[in-house]
Amino acid sequence: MSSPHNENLETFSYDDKIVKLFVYATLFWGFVAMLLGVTIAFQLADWKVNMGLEWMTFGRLRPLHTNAAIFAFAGNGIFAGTYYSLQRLCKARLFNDFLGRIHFWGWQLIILLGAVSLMLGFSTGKEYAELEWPFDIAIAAVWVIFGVNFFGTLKRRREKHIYVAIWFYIATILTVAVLHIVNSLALPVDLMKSYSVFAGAQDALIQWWYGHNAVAFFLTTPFLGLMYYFIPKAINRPVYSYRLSIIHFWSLVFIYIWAGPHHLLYTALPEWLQTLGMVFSVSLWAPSWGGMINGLLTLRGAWDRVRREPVLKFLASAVTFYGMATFEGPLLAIKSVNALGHFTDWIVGHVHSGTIGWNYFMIAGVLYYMVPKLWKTQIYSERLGNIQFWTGTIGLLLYIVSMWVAGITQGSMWQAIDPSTGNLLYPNFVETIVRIVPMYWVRAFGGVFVLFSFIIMIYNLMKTIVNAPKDVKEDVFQAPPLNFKSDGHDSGHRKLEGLPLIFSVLSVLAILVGSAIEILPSLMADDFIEKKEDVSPYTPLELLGRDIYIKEGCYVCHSQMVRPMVAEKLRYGKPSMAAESVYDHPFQWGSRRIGPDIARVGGKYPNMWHYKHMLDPRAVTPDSIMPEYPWLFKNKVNFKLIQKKMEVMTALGVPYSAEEIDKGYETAREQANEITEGLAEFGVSMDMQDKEIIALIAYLQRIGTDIGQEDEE
Amino acid sequence: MKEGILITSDGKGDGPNQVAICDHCRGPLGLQGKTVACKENLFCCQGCATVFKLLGKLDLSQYYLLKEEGAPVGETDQFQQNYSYLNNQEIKDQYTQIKEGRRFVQFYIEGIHCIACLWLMERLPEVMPQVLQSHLIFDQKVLSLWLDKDCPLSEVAHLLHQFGYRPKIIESLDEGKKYKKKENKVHLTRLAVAGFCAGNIMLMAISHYAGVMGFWRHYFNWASLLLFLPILFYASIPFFKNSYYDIKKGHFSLDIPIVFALTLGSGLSIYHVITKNPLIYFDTLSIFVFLILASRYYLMRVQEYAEQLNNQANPLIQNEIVTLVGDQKKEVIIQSLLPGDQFYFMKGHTLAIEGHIVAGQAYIDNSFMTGESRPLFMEEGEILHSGCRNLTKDIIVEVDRPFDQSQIHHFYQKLKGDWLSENYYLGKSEKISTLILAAVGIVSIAALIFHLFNGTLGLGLNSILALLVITCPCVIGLGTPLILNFAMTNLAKQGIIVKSGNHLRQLGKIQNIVFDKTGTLTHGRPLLKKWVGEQTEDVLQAVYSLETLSSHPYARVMVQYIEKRGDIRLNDVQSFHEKLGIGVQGMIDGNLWSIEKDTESVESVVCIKKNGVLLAQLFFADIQKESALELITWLKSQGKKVFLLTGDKEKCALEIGKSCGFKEDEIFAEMMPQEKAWKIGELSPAIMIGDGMNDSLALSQAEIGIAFNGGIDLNKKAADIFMQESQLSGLKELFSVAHQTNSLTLRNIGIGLVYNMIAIPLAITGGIDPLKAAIIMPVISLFILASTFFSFNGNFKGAKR
Amino acid sequence: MNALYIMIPISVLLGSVFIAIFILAAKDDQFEDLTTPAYRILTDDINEIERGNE
Repeated sequence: MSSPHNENLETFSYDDKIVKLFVYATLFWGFVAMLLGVTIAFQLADWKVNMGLEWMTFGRLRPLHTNAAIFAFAGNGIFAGTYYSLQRLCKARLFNDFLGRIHFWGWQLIILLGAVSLMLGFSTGKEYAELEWPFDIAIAAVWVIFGVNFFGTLKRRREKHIYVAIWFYIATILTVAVLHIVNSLALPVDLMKSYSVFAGAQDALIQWWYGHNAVAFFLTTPFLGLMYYFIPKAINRPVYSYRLSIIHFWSLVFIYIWAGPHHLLYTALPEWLQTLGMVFSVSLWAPSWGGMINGLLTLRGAWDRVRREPVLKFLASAVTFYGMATFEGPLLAIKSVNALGHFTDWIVGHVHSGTIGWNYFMIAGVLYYMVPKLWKTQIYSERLGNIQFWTGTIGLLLYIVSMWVAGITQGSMWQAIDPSTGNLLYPNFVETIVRIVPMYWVRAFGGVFVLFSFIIMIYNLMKTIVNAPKDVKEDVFQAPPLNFKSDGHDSGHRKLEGLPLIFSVLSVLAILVGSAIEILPSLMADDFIEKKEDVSPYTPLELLGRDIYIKEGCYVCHSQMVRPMVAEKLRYGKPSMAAESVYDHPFQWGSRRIGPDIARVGGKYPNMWHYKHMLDPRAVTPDSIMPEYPWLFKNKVNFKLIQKKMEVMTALGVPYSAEEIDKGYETAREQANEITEGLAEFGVSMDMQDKEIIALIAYLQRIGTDIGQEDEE
Repeated sequence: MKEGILITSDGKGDGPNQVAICDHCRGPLGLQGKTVACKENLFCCQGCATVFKLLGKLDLSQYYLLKEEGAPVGETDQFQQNYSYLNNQEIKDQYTQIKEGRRFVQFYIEGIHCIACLWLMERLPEVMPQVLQSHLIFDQKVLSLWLDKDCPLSEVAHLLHQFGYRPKIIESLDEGKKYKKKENKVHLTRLAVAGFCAGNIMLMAISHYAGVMGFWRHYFNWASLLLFLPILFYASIPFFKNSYYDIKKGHFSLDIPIVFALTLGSGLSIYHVITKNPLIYFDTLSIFVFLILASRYYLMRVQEYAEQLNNQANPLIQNEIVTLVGDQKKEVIIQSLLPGDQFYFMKGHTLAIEGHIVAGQAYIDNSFMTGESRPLFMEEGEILHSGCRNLTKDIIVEVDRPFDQSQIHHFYQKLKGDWLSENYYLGKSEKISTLILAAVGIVSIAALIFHLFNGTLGLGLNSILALLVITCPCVIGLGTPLILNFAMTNLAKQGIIVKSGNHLRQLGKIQNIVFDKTGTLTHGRPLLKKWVGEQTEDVLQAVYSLETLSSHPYARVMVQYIEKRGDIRLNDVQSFHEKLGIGVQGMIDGNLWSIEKDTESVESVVCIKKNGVLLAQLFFADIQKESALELITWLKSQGKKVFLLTGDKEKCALEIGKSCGFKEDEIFAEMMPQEKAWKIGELSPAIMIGDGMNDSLALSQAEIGIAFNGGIDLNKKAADIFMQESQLSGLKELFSVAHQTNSLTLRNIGIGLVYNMIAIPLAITGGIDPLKAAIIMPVISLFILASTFFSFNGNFKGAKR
Repeated sequence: MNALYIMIPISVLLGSVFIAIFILAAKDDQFEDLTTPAYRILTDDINEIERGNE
């Protein structure tokens, strides 16, 4: 430098170590998540892959897979990309290296323990939020640390303008915090068990408001931020229209938060609310495509480079898949389409075109861009990168297509009615599954391709890192500070200096206080639950059984929501009503029918049927793909907890009387004894009565029995 | 500067450097017959070498990594411009501001091309410690600098100049601009608030249409009422304001019915919310407010864009710094000169006072003033007019009339006035649209009153809202400016800057087109017309070697002419001698060469003599541009009347004029500025096409003034349309676009009319409810937008072909 | 659907927070120049004064 000691300039370097850490974590958890994905894919293709192991069953691994993919893989990827771009966009080092480390290790610890807890069957039973309450608190804490570190850095920035990517990050931080907190509101029973404060339809609304926005603000906005930074950087030209990107952002955040109800079409939600959800989701199509087009046009005229360079290849196709997913989403939110697609594999395919096509590919592109820069070297092999790309793409296409076929096939089989007789064409649910099992194999192998492509990337990047020059010194940068009005005619500057921090804190506070005011009274208040006299709370044993149902993750394969359609009435019985699930903390409507809906299973089969079924599903339903649950016949039910559980339920507004609670233990015992006696006639030994299977049967026999079947023509 | 060794290209023979490119500007080497080499790098010229070395020294060589392939670099001519005047207090006071002990100053930077330039500009703080921050607005080429309070501006400017850019100090945000900026922000915020509230209200409305009932209906009503308040009390303020002023001034505008509907609608809705009446209009009202705000914001941007293009650096001519004659050579700003003061009139400077030469002799370029193409050789005692430019030698001038009495000042003031009073509001001038608006307004108010007495206010309100939404300015109000915006932006891309859309529209209509000769139809400087006599290698070399040493304008022409003809060796010249006003002579290989003006002939002829023997005669003249004839004939074919006005000699004027296709009676020569203006007055309405001071008056006199040639800032002020390149082809483009604009405008108005004819009755009779209207209106707008866009694209593709 | 008691206010509240941020951002001239920033980021890693290795 001509004037190295220029007192007007500040010298600084970036904390790239933390970025590197997150890069490693991304690679590791990406592998884990995809390995799990492949595993459960094979479990669906062949039930034997469940291996009769408690912690290996689909019901427990599937939540693990989703959580690992979203929070471990995507999460770490986001943190890596965010920390890298944020520092450079702000021309400032990370606010605090140590906070960064806490953030990193905290997050990894949560994932690790969380993974174990899910395998052990500790689950809240809320999709994409299965982790129990201690983890929820830990997540919130780490998230706040991330926020502090983020806004601290922003506050110290040396570049006046806040680049659009940063706006997307801000939206992510604020919104995810709120969503997470609201959705995780629960009352603990003990260290590893809690009940959602919301019940039934309420819980469903909150859950999918969270569920969708988790997609919107965890898997979309941060990645859009990455897109707006890394695509221009990678291709070394400005984004096609910066103005459009700004409009894109604001139009998104002003209304996006409304999304959600479209996950509950044809459920027991009121008509108007479903329509609202539908209209809304469809209207989201515009901003999404605005962003996609902006991203793609940035690459215009450089397709030859896209063909050559893995980085651009991944980024470009990521954006393309984003376009595809955001087109398919609104489509699926249209009621008529939803009628066919909901509860089928179509949804699963849709989700994966997002998570693999958009998130994985975007992360891959970002990593391929960052790693050589971070380690000051060249990528080990561009060729491997291209191979990875094609393997991944082929795998993904196999996945999507097979799921389309599977989904539409099964969906239409469910709906199919013989016009002459007016009966179902495929009354036996298993037929519809058997028909699509070949697709499950295709999907599984698609998954293998994707996993393999990821392994290639791990190898390629690790090679790159190993071959990189050792003892790299940090680059040192120089820039003038922003400590005074950087331009002749504005007074707002200092205001914004501290603004992000203050604002995030204030807003989060405001929202928490606001929601507290909203929620707390209603928690206690009975009016929070619309009563229906013939709906009564679960008996103690049923309650215990229900917890086993949740523990084993039955909801990932069995819905509890008969939709108001002819075919479903014929197949399952009377459509579900909101009133039926008013005591369901949490709701168990489910989102997928790998097995049949069981909203009306109560009383449908004798106890012995269930007993056999749990022991060996194929004994009662040939060709069933459900795993066996031998341990249900060994593990004892913890009757001790029943009173505590009932107390918590009462606190949440379930009307158990004081003596019901006092007698809880006995009542449970009695009912268990009763059921076991019934089974004993078929030669089941009486010492089964304290085993989980009995409680589970009790629950299953109760489901959907409150509202009589008769009053319907 | 000096280490660069001059290598004659044939010295390099057909070595690799023939194909090599310059390490700075990436231009081919040896083009001008020479190549500068220093260390291992090669450059096409000394300037490039300098910049390259400078960047290297400052450790800014990444500049070359960033540079896009083929992106040009700033011109790098050696001749140093003197920026010392920037240090003068008057300048500082007028152009810079002190904040918190730091000086804020803005430069308009000519020669900003690519990311590399941006990067370079913002590296200044690293290169110059006194520069605290530098911030470039890329598309406006405006560089904002925070400097140490006592950092000499000249140094900054000089550094930029060394990089090969042309910094021009500009007034950082005057009050007017500040106000505009603020307005802009407020409008944007209003828009955002409206957008947010409207969006959420719509969602709640949807649940209405989806049939939500009972408790939740009221819940939503209250929620949307809450969300509507910001729209009513914040976003809608401009409507209330405007209509208040309009009513006060007593003329009609759309805001009046808007406010009418707003107040009634919201009042009624609020009342209904409270009384649990299902008729709520928040959704319609809010979306309606949002749409209007949006369309107006768009209008604002369009205007700004047009303004921005035209509003480049403002002229500093009146702030030139001069050195007084006297023992302590005092530097003063030229405005402060008084009659009788004597000062040095420097080479390359422009005179901003009226005065006469007291010592020295120089070539003076008067074209600025008179359009006279030939530089005049002037000496002691001769009168100098303000606006003239000293081409050759520094001379001493005595002031007769100070700046504030000089013509240049007079013009500047006048033009500044005109310029500031320009009305930028597009669309407003559209009679038809105002008519329709008035109609709509009256109809709606009438209808409202009717319903009011009919007791069916709710119904009436509904239809009025539908009416207002459906006839909302988007179709007519937006249609016209849209076209103008397209036209202006596209023209701007081709270096034709139109100040205001109205001009573009008039352009198509006005019949009389008046041309200035010098610099408009002609190149504006003497060129070698013909070379009579020998043109051997020997002669060319001699001329080249001699004239490169001369500073006379003709000399440059000759040098360029010879360089064009390819490689040429420089011979060293002994006993070179330049006789001012006559020519040059010197010894080459023992022969005495003289290149001198033929003083007898009226034309400008230069004779080349070797040892007194006449070898060749070179005829100089300001010759017409290639496309001149074509243009004039084209215009005539378009049924326009063309005229040629010039201050130049009759003979010359006729010669050029005829060859450009003017008839004798269309040519008016030897006219002083005033006369030109009068002539324009006679021909009015007329379009004046010209450049130079002498035209400014005419330009501002004419209905439409089209100014040529980017050099002179005054033109930008004087003219309504301003062409950056001096190709005439631009004019043809301009006229055809103007034509297109008019026909398109008519078409859109037509569509608008038809549309309204259908829409208004439907809306009034309640055939369309507000929501439908809110859907239809944007659709129509989009249609117009699309049709306009495509027809224009077609046009411009055509233009490029 | 009492859960809407919570969802709608929170959604709107969150939206308002963003509006507030927007307003301050506008005040701070964040939307003044919407061209240069897009270019500026392209040079963000060029201006180091000493490069580690290489």
